[in-house]
Formats: sequence, structure tokens, C-alpha cells
Amino acid sequence: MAGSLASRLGRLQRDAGGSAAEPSPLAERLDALRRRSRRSRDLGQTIPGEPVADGVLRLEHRQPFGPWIDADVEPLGLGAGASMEARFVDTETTGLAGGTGTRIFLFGAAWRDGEDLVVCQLLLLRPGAEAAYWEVAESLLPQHFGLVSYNGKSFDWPLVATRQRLSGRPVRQPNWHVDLVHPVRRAFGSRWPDCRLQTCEARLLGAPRSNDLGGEFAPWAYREFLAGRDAGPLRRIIDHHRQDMISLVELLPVVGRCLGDPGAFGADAAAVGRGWLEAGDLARAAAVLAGHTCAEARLLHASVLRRQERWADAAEIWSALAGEGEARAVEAMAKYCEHRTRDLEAARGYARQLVACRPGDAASTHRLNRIERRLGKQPTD
Amino acid sequence: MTDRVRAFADRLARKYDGRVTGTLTVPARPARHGAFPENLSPGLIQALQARGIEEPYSHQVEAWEHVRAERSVVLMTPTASGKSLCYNVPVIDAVMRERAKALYLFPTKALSQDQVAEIIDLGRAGDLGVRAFTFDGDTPGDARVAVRTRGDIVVTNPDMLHQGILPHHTKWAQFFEALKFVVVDELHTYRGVFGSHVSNVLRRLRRICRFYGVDPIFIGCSATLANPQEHARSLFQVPVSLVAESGAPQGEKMLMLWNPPVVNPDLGIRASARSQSTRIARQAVRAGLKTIVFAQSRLLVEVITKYLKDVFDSDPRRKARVTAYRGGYLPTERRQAEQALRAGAMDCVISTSALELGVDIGALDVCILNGYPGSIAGSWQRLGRAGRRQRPTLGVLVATSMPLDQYVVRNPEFFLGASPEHARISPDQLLILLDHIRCAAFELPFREDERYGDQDIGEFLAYLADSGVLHLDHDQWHWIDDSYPANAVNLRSVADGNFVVVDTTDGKQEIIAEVDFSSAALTLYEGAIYMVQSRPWQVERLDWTGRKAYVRRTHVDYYTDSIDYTRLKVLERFQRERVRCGDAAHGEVHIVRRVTGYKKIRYYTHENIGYGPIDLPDQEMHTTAIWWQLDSREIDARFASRWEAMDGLIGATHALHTVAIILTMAEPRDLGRSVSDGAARWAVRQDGHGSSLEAGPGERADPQAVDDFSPCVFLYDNYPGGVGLSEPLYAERQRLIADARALIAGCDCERGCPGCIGPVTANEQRTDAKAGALVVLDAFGGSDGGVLGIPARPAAA
Repeated sequence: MAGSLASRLGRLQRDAGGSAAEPSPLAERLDALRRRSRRSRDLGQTIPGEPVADGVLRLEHRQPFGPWIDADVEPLGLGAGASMEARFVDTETTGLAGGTGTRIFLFGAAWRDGEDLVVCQLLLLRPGAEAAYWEVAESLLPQHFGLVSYNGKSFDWPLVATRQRLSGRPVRQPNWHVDLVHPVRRAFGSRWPDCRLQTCEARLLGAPRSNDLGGEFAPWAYREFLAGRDAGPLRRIIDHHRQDMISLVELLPVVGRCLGDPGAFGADAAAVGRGWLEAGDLARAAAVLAGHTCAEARLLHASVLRRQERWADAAEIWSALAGEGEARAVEAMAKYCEHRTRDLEAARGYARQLVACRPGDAASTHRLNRIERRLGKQPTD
Repeated sequence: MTDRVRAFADRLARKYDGRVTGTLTVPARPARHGAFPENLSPGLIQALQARGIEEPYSHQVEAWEHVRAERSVVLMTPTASGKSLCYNVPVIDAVMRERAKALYLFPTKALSQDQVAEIIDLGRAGDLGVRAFTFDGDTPGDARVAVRTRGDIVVTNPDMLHQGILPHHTKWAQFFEALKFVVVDELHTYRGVFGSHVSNVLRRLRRICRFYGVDPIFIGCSATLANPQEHARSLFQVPVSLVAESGAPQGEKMLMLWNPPVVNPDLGIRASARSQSTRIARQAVRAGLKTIVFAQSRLLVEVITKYLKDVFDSDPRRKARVTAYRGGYLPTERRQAEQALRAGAMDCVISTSALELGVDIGALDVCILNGYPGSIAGSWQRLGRAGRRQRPTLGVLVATSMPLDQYVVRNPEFFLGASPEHARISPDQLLILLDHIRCAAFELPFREDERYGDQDIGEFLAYLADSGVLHLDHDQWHWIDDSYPANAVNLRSVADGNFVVVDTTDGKQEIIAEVDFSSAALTLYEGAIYMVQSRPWQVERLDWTGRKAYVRRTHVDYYTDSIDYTRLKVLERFQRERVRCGDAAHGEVHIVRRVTGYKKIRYYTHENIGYGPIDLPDQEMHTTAIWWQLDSREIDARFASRWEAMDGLIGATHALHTVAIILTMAEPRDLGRSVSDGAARWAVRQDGHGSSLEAGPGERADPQAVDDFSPCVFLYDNYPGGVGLSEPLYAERQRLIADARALIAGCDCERGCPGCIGPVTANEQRTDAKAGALVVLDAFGGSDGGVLGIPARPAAA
């Protein structure tokens, strides 16, 4: 067939109309690609860090380990000694698609070293050095460790496992894994436009960044570097990533405190309370929900009280809400009066109100009819 | 023995003697048995016996022996011959002995589910402890981990392997490390574009297997093909043994070829296949025979269903006896139809090829093919749906007026005696190859010296690196892009993204059907009547980018059919040759198709009762083509007028298309045709009023006024980048011309008919298109007597 393969490929791929120069022969293009790799290697030397293996650069940052008491992290299920065991892990990747073609080029692990916080970043200088890269990364994780991440359960950590397996390395699992994105989503999902780490940082840690190159630029920055064009964007991504690691460490106790007292952080108390309820921790659920004024929180609070068999307290909340026309509270009161206090007259009142709230609802009508029947059978004194 | 099916067949043959052009009876065949291999797990033998299998068929034993000896194998035995035991037995045996793993591939989800149910039944019968799961788009997220880590047999489809498993192979590490068998059923369906894609998915699978240090045995099953072994080898890319002698018993099979009667001898027009199929189905159902009708298009399924429902289901109080079954229905609706069929609750089903594959629908007596399915394997596969239980069955192939159909029924020996179809794939088709190299590079880095399939792919990798997707580091090519390439590659169609059909009647928002991208423009334009179970909806709004069509329930007495306009431009000539009075060439073309409008067609009378415009984006592709060009001097010297020449060109193109399909064994839709100038300025079209020159959508031009009237006849690969049809056609161009010439010259008609030069028009002053077509073919260098052996006669002119 006429036309070189490359030119035909180009034409088939491109939209019609664009004209492209005939590509040069394969050997020349391979040379150009190799030159590209060499340029990228030269660029790598402009990044400050310690080469710890061929193609692997280690960057270390130390700062004082922030105040953190066990009570802060207890709502996250962490006990004494967690701060010594914890490894905070975050990565930057060539994309978000997942799968075996998404690679980690920046792996960060942070831990407490006495009074210090150590943030260690590993940069993969060339894709071919992955096996050595993961060997070094493993050395940052002790035999027994706990993992703290932000969205690491579904993204970073499976990807670490994928990369290790591809590199023929063993996959080591942590003793425990706290992924802060879940409690943050629960507490703030209804309050914030999004729950990205940077949003947490701005709203909970009060430390806005300046001149930050966002993580969404990471794949591009790395490709710029690999193509031998520019290491500048990559250096900025490294700074960004270090800041992410520090924020992750600082965020942990704040999220813990927030779960114990959502109101103090402007969080969605009803959602946090529901979380405790679902986890079966009634005492904490009641504590979190008490005193909140939104209908959702009060309804939940009442259902916690009901489960604790504090009927009178629950009824107090329901009757107040029923007075405000909240159908679910009216329903609860109708049930409460019919089955618990056996005050059928009152039950009928609520049942009627419920039918009015939910016109056409068969269950409500059925309830009203039943109560009417029972009232009819009662001897009239 | 008097049998109702046989009695019905006799009655048909007597009553419609002139329409039956050929019959074939495949006699009943007794069973041939073998013995269970001695070293088979006793538990497994007990389970088989508990399922009523006392002694295996000879072909099953033969297959087991191959697999035992670690030889890849392909089985080609008829429907319902116990094919699945050929692979299930050695696989389950190996699972029990060594916890080996197996991957099963079926082309559809429904088949996967049937298969898992079968394995589970067998496992339960003998308490074999075999864990079989389906893995497809319907598998819930939390179940996926269990499938990956605990499944002994994972049953999936090529699409899921391609998009869901291979790009995540590290999650499947445990599975791959113990993978010993890859079972690929319905092998004959993997041909053409789809087959070329699947072959590449299997190349990627083998690459992943090498990474995990395993070399699985491939077991394939296929319907009848002329080249099962060759086809399996090109799909699996390993040596393959063949088992083709079935030991299973078979009931008597009768097959009739049926040509509708000529209703207009002057124009050579025959009654429609639809009317004949409906008639045969009606009589079969009345005779108490369970009947299936296969129609070529979803539209036809709906039309025939309506006609049969009008007869059998006119009383809404009684249970329905007739049902439609086709792609595009929601899974629940399809499952319901399947169940009703299995339970024998339906007397007649009308289906597209969606039912062709082994979905179990119980026993049927009569199978009617409304139109030749385009391949012999496809025909037998559909005919196999009747008579699963060793009873006599009848198949009727009803020809349409399409040339291919007419060829088949007029030359019964082609269908009845000759060797069936060759399945062909071109896994090295440029775009397909590039797509899968991309996917493979995502899955594992390529070594610089690594070959893919048997290809040296340096150029491809350099191309991908130039576009920034790959990075060359030392001797390896690494994927560094942020995309997930498998999602951009659809194995089954060119473009991505199914359309959903949303019913908005009475303020609802209910999805009632799905339509694939390629047919959306032809079926979901605004104003279209869209039918589900022959109930009509009208499309009110088409959201092209959102891939949604909003429809409303309607009651009309017509259906709609779209009209399209295709422009074609030559980009490059790879090869070129001077023929008698013009040029023959092979090269690359750019095609733009636009759907310009639609016709409203009234039920039963089929008269045209109106037109509507369609405004949709153009569909473009680059592909390969073969063409012949006649320059204007030759045209003017040979024809009295250019109008006459156009009729001849259209006729010649029809005949060339027919013989090209027969020569390449392609699906008719895979090969496009066009008569145009090759510079996208004008094209010759034909409609009910004769030939015309179109210089734009709906824009007529006068051919006499065109400066350089040098038309080309194009046959092109109807797939971006081509699928390897036009190149062999160019090599066979002389034979092609000769066969087309012989086809026309040998036809009994006077001045052309749908069987040779395609539909002819009722125009009073019409030209002799038949003679014109022969003039064109002679100019292209035809001589008499082609390979198809059609005797040549002097041209009628």
C-alpha cells in the first residue's frame, strides 16, 4: 500500500481537512524519542532531592508534630498509640482513570518521629525505574502500620497495590485504614460545594494556599517533565503534594473532633448523628443531636431516644414537631398514642392530621379507620 | 410415521409448487457413543449420570482427549449436540483436581447466564464444589471481589474482558496465575469487524497470561463453517485441533427455498418476502406448529409481528399467541419473551438475529427466514432454532428481491450442496490494531523488541509516543496518558454511545428501548415512528449529544423509513490499472453520509403517503475501496444519453455488489456501494422514479450539463479504515467483472429485474438498463464466463 504507515495512521486519526507533513522514518523518530528521555533525565537533576536509587528521588521535610491528643482521634476509632503507628499516605498520579495504565509518580508517606513530623516524598524520575521505586517506598512503611489517607480506600491504596504487583513486589496491607474523605463527606457533604482536601484545608484548617498548582495539573506536569520540556510545573506539583501531606496530618484530629461535636464546626449534625446511629453508638448519637433545631436532627434525636426507650423524651420532640406540621412526627405520635399510651382519642387526632398531611396515602387512611373502629368498640362511659 | 411437520411441508410443497425452487432433507441420525475416560473424577461421572448422561457422545470423548493432552481444540457440531459438556467436563475435572481456573467467553450476557446455570446444576448434582460466576456489566460492585478471588469458572463476554478485566488485570492476579482454560463459544460470530476486535482482545489476554506465567488451553465452539480450524487459529493464534464429527442423534430436517411469485412480469417485480413469510407463518400456526420467523431488520420484525398479531391476537381478552423479540428491548422484556417461549405459551415468535445464538427457547417446529441472512452459517444457525428435540423440523428460506437472495434461491446448489461460509477476520486492520496496541500498552509496558500478534509494531509505538501517549524509557514503552483507552474502543460498532428511547406519554419518563449509535440516525429522527412489540411511538425530540430520543405513544396507520445521501471522495490510489475503456483502482476514500429525510409508508398498501425532513450531523469515515471509472468521452460514445448511462451504471453496480459479496463471503452491510464522481461533487441515485444526479442533499442536477461526466462505480469497506474486503476484490477484479456480466446476461428477465441489476422503474420511456449495465461492464473489461459458472448469454441489446 502506498503512503507510510505513520501517515496513514495520522490521516485516519485526524479529522478530515487537516494537512500534516509526512513523518520522518522510524529510526529518526526513535532517536528523537530517546533524546527526549535524556533531556528529561537532565531536567531531573534540577529537582532538589536525594537520589536513593536509579530513577528514584527522595525529598524529605521536617516540622514539629502538631498537638494531637488521643481524645481527638477517638471518634475515628483510633486508640492510644495511633499517632506512632500511623502512616499518612498520598500520591500524585498520571491520571484518575485507574487500571494498570495509571501510574504513581509521586508517593508521599508522613509519620511522627518523636516531636517531629517527617514528610517523605518519592519521585519516579523515569517510568522504567518502578521496581526500585516501590522497593524504596516499602522501606518507608514498617511491618505493622496504620494508614491514614484522603480518598485512599478507593483510589490511592488500590493503585499502590496495582503498581506493586506490576513491579513484582509483595503487596503489604495496613493493620487499619482511616480514610478521612468518608467522615468529611458525611459531615460536610450537604454544607460545602465539594469535599476536596483543599476545601477542608481552607474551611477547617484556615490556611489558604497561595500560588498553588492544583493536583489536576499533575498528569500534565509529569508529562511535561518526561517530554524533557520543563521541570517547573513538576516542582510546583511536588510543593503542592507536600502541602497536601501536611494538611492530611493536621486534618485528622480536626475531623475527629468534628465527629464528636459537629455543631462547633458548622457540620451537618443530623448526618453525623445518623452515622453514629447506624454504627449503633446511641449515646454518641444522642449527644451529637441534642440541642439542634433543624427538623431532621430533632426527628433523628427522637428516634435515638425511642431506641433508648426514653419514650417521654421522644414524645416531647415529636409532639413539638407535629405541631409544626411535620408528617413523620405526626405519624410517630399517632403510633405512640395508639400503642404506647393507648390514648385512642389523641391517636385519632394525630391520625386525622396525618391523613390531611398525606392525602391519598393508603396506610394513613387504614390507620385512621382502625383507630375509629377501636374507638367505636370501646364502651362509652 | 405421519408427522404434522412433514404433513405441513408436503402440503406447502404441493400448493406452492412454483415458488419452491429447491428442497433438501437431512435424514435423522442415530447417536454414536463413547466411554467416560478412565481417570475422570468419579464424583464428576456420578454427577453426569445423575443428570441422565449414562454414556457420552463420541465427539465429547474426542474433545476431552484433546484437552487432556493439552491441545487447543475447536468443536464444530450442530446445535443441541451437547457441546457445552465438551468443555465443562475437562474444566470441572481440572478444577476439582488442581483448583485450575477457566475463563468462558460468550458473545452475549444472556448466554453467559444460561451457561452458569448449567454448570451450577451439574455441580449441585454431584456436590462438586465448583464455583462459577458471571462477570459483566450487571455484576454488582461488592460481588466483583468475590468473583475475582473465588471464581473457578468466570463467564463473561469479550466486551467485559476488554474494558473491565484486562485493564485491571492486577486485581485478577490470583485468577490469572491459575488460569488453565479459555473457552470461546459461538466462534463463528467473531468474524468481520467484531471478530477482528475480539482476536485482538485475545492477543492482549495472551500477553497478560505470559506476564503471570501461564499458557492456557483454548477451547472453541462454532456453528458450521468451511474453515473452523483456520478461523480458530487466527482468533486464538495457537495451533488448534478440530472435532467435527457429531455423535449426537438428530431429527430429520427439511429445508425449502422459496421465491415469491412474480407479480409484475414487465418490471420483474416479485411479491414481497414479507407477505410470503407472513402467509407461511399463518398457515404453520394454524396447523398447530410452533413457529419462529427471522427478519432482517428491527423494523421488519415489528411489521410482521403486527400482521400476525392482527390475525391471532385480535381479541385482547385472550392470551397473546404471537410475540416479537429483538435487540433494543429491555432485558426484562426479553427475559419474559424467552420464558413464555420456553414454557410453550407462545405459538409464534418474530425475531432478529438476537435469538440466533443459543438462548434456550425450547422446541420449535418451523423456522422461516424472511430473507437470506447473508451467510450460510447464519442461515443454519437460525434454522437450528427449530427442532432441538430430535423431531422432524421444517425450515423455509424466503428470498427477498435483493440480488443476493435471488442468487441463492435461483442457484439452490450454492446453498444446499456447496461448502458453507469462510469466517474471516483481519486482526491487523490498521485502526483496529492501533486501538488494541493502545489498550495493550495501557495494560503492560511494551518491550522494544516485543511483537504483538506476529507484528512488528515499532511504527505504532513511535506514533503513540509522538502523540504523547507513550514514553520510551530505555528499552520499554510506558503508558503515561491520563485516559483509559479501552473505554474509547467499542468492539461491536464504529462509534460509541447507545441511544435510549424515553417514553414521555402522559408526563412519564420511562426508558423503553436502547438503540446503538450506528442505527440511531436511521431510526430515531424526529417524526420517526419507533415500534416496540409492534406498538408505535413517535419520536418528538432527538437529543443527539445526550443520546436520548423522547417519544410519545401514538396511533397511526403508517411506518417510517429513512432516506440517506452519501458523498464519496477519493483520497489516494494505492493501485491503479487501465482497463478496456477506463480505470480500475484500489485506494482510500472519504465518505460522508447524511440522513436527509424520511418516507411515511402506509401499512398493507405500502404506498408512500408523505415525506419529512431530517436534520442530523453527518457521519464521516475514511475507508478503503475498489472502483472503476469511465471517462465522459467513453460514456458519450457508448450511450445515447447520460440518463441511459446512469441506469446502466446503477445496474452494473448492483450486480458487482452481489458477486463481490458472494466472492468475499462478507455480510452485505460490510460492503458499501456508490456511483459518483469520486470528488464528492455529485452522485447517481435511484429511487422510485428512476436514476437521477444528486449534487447535494435533495438537489437534482442535469447530467447532460455536467462538464466532466466521468462516473466511478465504488465498492467500499463499510468500516473506518476498511476491513480488508476491497484489497482482495481488486486482486479479483477481472473475475468480478466477468461474474457480474454473467449474472446479468444469464438472467431470464427481459429488461432487467431485481435479481440481476436491482429494482427497475415503471417509467414509460425507461431505458434498457439491463443492456446498459452490460455495456458498462464490457467497458470495464469483462469477458464471458466467470468463476461462479453462470453460463453467459449474448446481451439482450
